[in-house]
Amino acid sequence: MKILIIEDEKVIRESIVTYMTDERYLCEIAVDYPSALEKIEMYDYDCILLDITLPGGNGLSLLKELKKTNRLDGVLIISARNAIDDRVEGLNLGADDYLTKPFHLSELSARVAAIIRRKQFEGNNELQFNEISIDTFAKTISINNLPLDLTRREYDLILFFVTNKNRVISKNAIAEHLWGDEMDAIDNFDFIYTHIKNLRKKLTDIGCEDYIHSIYGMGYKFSNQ
Amino acid sequence: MKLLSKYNRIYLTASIIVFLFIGIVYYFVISFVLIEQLNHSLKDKLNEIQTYANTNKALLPIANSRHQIIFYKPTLSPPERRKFSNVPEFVKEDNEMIQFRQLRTVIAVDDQNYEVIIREPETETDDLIQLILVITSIIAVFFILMLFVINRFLLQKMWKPFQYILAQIQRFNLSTQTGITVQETDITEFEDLNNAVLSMSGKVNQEYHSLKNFTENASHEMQTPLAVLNARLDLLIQNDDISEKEIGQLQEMYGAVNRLTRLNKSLLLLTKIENRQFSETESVQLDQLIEEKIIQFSDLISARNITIEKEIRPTELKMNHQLAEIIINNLLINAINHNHENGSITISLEHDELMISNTGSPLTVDPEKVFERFQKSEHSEGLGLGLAIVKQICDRYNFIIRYSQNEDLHIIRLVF
Repeated sequence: MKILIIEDEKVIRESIVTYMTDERYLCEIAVDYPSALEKIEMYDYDCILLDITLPGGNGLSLLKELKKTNRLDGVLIISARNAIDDRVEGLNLGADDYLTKPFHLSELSARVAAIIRRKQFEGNNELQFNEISIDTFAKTISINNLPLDLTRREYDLILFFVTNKNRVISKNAIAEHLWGDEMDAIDNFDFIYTHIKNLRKKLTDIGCEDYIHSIYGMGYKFSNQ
Repeated sequence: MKLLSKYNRIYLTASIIVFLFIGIVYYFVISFVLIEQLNHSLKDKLNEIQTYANTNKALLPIANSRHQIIFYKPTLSPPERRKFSNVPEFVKEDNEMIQFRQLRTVIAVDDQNYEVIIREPETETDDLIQLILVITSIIAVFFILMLFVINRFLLQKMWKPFQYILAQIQRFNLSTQTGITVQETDITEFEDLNNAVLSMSGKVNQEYHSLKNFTENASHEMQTPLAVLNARLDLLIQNDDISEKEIGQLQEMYGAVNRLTRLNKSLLLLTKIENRQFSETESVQLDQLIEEKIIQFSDLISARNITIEKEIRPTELKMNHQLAEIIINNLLINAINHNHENGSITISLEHDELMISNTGSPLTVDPEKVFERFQKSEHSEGLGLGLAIVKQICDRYNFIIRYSQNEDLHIIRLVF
């Protein structure tokens, strides 16, 4: 999968590149409007991460350029501005999703994966991890071809884990992914533990290995060992 | 009342009083003049009688008619001055009482004194006076009506530029940036008004823009370093060889960054509400909103084993939808967070009041200051801004919000 990261902030850009490269994405970068325009004109990407607060020209104009030529690249807008107008305008102009800074890298990764899945409609609806098989279109999951009944939250959770496999994911990131903005005011994350416990039990009961590892004091890691 | 109505009222009253006054004066003047005319006629006749008597030493032969009646009566009284008076007499031909103007005197004719009485009827004069009055009244009424009509149309037209600029001012909305246009006018005062309004709205728009930009720029500036921290932390924790101690420190950093982010977002929200952004209004179904939020937080609620009792009636409010969501969100979260295990929350909603109460440990904050910024209890990890934001929104819409305590029950009441 090839992605283009258009972000002027060096540290953020490099962090995204590191994380996404580890996730097996091929990452290209652009640091300002002119170079971004150049890259877009020359290549196709599976997903473009667009920071609309770019110097040298509003990122939204880049979006307009993309849509003018009917490109199929997925677009995820990242912005420090949580202005509703920007969000609405961006989505109206054809962006696939909108993420405000600061965000967790795991959240970014999950959203990029979702955009790419949606774009490849006929193709890859299935996520596979060992014996776990997730049909992202039907939103169902089966272990060794045996269907498994999960609640909405549990489904979102396992999908989030599989998309960010082999990464350590902080509790904050999980909470924000599952409960979004309301998480702002929640005091402690103990009830995340309950959800994970329930998910683990359902998976192991049906014969799946336990890939969810607790990283003490930090969060969880979904991996083989 | 409207200027036009007031003006008309004053004007009409004044006109009527003036015309009445003029009418009365007019009546008396005309009466006086006409009576004087009668007097002259009577005097002339008397002089004629006097002259005849002096020349011919006899009384003037009389020929009485409707218009003049003369009586001679011998008398022993000495000659006296002439005297005018009004005398009502019954006239057989007309079968009614008629007022006469009378001149009476005693003159000497050839050694004999005679009382001379000359009378003329006032009917003609009366008729004349009546006619004059009627014509005058008609003229007056016509005059008043005409001026009334002219005033109404003319004044309405003249005030048009004012109505126009007034409508513009009423329409003026800072956040939707409606521009102000003016109607050309040659009336100095309205021209001045137009210019003043234009310049004021220009200044206000400018300041609004710079303020709006400031809050947005401030947010941008703060979010970026926070994003940097967050991203680096996300990568740091991927390291396999982190000691337990270091993990603890990382988690603390995560927590701090998270807190800063929330703080920034909340303060920004507060400023936006203060600046009257969020101006779109729609019909919000509060009851639905509450139900939705309860479902959204169901994990939290069941995690603490909190029971919810609700008595919610369909209630509609006209306000910004986002702000309504924030109110319900913050109140509910507050009730959940400051509750204990196995506690309860009671929500009641009627068309003019929302009440939400929760069990919980007693307040460690001054109850008077519960809605101020950064007021929070010692055990809470919250920011202390949730209720402050709710209060800000309530102030904006003139809702009344009150906090009260009843043993271990915390009650918040919102009146729309």
